[in-house]
Amino acid sequence: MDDLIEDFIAETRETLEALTSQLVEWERRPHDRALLDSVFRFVHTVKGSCGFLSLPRLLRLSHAAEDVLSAARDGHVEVSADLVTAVLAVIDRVAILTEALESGASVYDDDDVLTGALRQYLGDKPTGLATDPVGESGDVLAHEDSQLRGKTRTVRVSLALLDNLMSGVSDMVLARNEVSRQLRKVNSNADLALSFARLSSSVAELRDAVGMMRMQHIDKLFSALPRLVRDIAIELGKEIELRIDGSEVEVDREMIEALRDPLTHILRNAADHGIESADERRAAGKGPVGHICISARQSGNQIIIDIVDDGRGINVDKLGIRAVAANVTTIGEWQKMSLRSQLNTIFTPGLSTADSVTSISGRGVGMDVVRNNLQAIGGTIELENHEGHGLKITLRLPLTLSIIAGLSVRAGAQIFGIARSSVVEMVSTSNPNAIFEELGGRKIVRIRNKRYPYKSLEEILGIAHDAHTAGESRTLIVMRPAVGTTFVLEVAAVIDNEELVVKPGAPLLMGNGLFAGTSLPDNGRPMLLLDASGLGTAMGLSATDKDDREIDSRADAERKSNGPSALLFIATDGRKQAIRLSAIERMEDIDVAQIQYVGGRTRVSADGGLYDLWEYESAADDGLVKVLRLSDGDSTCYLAVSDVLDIFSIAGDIMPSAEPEQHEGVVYAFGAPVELRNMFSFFETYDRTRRNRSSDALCFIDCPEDSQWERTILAPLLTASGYAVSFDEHDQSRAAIILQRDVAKARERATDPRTLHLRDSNHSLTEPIASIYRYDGVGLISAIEEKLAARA
Amino acid sequence: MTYTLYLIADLAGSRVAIESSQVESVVHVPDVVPVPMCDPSIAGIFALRSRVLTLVDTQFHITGVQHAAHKGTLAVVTEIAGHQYGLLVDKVHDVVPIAVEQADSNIRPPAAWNRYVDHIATHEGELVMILNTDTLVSGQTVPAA
Repeated sequence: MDDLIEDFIAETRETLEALTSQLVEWERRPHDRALLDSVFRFVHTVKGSCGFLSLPRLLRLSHAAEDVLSAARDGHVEVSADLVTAVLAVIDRVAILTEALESGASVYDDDDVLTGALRQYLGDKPTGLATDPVGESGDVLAHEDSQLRGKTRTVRVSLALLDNLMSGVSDMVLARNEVSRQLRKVNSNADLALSFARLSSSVAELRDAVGMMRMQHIDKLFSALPRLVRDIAIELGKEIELRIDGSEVEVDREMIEALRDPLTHILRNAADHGIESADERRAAGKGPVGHICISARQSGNQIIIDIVDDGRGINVDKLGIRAVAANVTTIGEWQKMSLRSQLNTIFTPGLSTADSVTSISGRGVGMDVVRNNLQAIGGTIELENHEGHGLKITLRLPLTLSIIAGLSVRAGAQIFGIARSSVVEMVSTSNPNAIFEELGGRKIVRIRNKRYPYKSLEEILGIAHDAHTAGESRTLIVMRPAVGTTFVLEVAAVIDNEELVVKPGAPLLMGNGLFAGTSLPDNGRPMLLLDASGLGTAMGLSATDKDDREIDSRADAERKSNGPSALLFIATDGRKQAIRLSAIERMEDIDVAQIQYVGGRTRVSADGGLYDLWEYESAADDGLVKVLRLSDGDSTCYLAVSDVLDIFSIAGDIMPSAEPEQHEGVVYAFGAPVELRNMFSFFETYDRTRRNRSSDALCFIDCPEDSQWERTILAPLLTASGYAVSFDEHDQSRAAIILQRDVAKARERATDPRTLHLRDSNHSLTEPIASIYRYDGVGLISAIEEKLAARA
Repeated sequence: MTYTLYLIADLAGSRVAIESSQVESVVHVPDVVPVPMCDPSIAGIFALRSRVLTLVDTQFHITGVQHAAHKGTLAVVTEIAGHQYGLLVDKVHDVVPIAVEQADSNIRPPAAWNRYVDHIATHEGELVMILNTDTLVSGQTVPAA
């Protein structure tokens, strides 16, 4: 019996989750038969199960709801908004009772009020209409069965078992790594290596599959939102429409739990403060119905959730007044702040722009909590304010809670991990750009005219310097923690750049605030992860954002006064050259296997695309090639380099070059003149083929449906030359060139200057009008170009 | 008289007992990674299969002297409040049934042990202190230096 009740609880809960969004939809379209049916099915199923399990309260509730819905199905009762509210109240109570059934809690019994509210809709109906449940149930259940059969079957597994499986698989991966190390030591034979490779790949597959088991559709989080917005909207007397996109994005199940509160809060804020009342909206020239749109998407190893509303946005001036009143800032400071910093004061604890405190929001505890919650799971929040037109909030979250992109660094003889998200840049201590200073005993380092407080990790942690490496150059890491001042951390060396699986540490370890957790890299030796904010605090830096803002605005000012930045690198021919930093998307090490000489040019296949690779000198058969990924905004290409040296800002004039094709000019980098590469040539050819693919160079080919030659020979020739090709009759009017072989049509079009007639024979004698031989590729292209030139 | 199983071990030269239901396993610790700037009762962290465990320098609690943990030292693995710990012990003897009711209420443990001992029981005529593992990892209020 207990098993049956457990099943009932689980099933009811699941159906309720699925039903929540439908309920709201039903309210909007009360006459939608399908929605009415699914609500009816739910209460009917609950009723059936309750009768069987002898749960009288649930039975009474579901019975009352079923009666009303049944009458509505038969058209005896008009479905009104009030009726929907009454039914929703009953369904809510069913949910509460079901939860109570599991927890053993008691729920105050005023079910009669709820059922009474429903009964009044049946008031004028004879009670006999409360249909015969037996006849009905056979019907409905059969219907349900047929629906269920199509679905993917699932089983419920306890989370503990799943975690068990996860750690089992992790153990297996570590054991595999150990075996692989042992195998490398002994001279293994090929057979052994082969079977090990097979084992190894299936272990990897298994790990991925287990990782997927933890993933869930974000829909699980989103499905409750329509109901939430509906309730708020009714309470506030506003009309709000919620749109949800990207419900199919998958996230870690723990992430769903962690996101629930922040997202609810943001929605409440949007509905309460963002969306205006219908009158206000009309006065502002907007439609009376407010819109909130939530969309989720995956981008690389991040999940991005946008919450966009078309309400009034944040009144920045008002925010400023509040901020000054709350002593968060002074008027002078406020005026100097960048717009972004001004907006970000909304995250200060105790600050709200709401004029009045409502039951929903406006108590000044809110956005700071939201941001803290997001930071706790490694996420960030950004605001995009359009005053008077709405607010866009973007949440960026790591794909899983437990894996972060990290750096392993060495201090003394020990290895520590740092989350890459808090690292701004890394500079060697031997770099002439890093100048060490001191201010009253506090060490300061100046990197490219920006000063940062700095301390070595050994000093912060109180561990001994490694004697063996004394005198070697060390690495400076510029760290920008989520909260607090940017600072520089000096470490003995940066070891690796890897994905780290974060495990929570025991409270005794975390007590000092320096560590964010522990991790177990593949070598099986545990590692402590450093907490960037904690390190800053340990260095005696303030943990507020204030300094950060100043640095920000100072950095802004510097960016304006300084020239553009450029990257100094060694080209593949061994010479030092410079390239503008703005064109570099990133630096990469690509596998030689990704490089191919195809289509008359060296190309790199990466991210599913094929890109040009410049200045690549053939290298060994395997290994990595250092490349810069360049972009002009639309197109992307790669430039092979021998090594990347440093970043500098272009100060002073750019001396003209004698070879402007190759070099934009000559600039000074660290006191020596270097050539600044001209980016134009890298993209020039790329663009030539792209540029013509606009509508004014469209070639329309007029031919019969089944004509092979046009489709297999002519169209590819034109495409390769950079023209768009269409066989669609509708494109004829906007086409720049019309190509055809049919003589009859050629006569019709004799006056159309766009027409080019193609003949089958090498000799022009047989054709009555001017024509080009169809295999005269050069002639054809030049004829097209002539026509285009004439048009222009 | 009800008997419960206890693991008998030596700690700081004394005989102690840990309730066996709290003991997950007894292991020789592999490489120990020290944790700088933390509670002095933490000897470091170590890996046990794919898990990272915190190693508690148990005898620091008793003697106040830190004990450098090295590879191969014995540790009792236990889970407390969702985190796993290794408790360093000198030696492990046996798992035996002890009836706590036998305890002689006149005898109290010495002051240094008081916080960590629940009861005193007799086993084969010898007195043993029954350890409360929770207090061993709850952290003395020693501020991180």
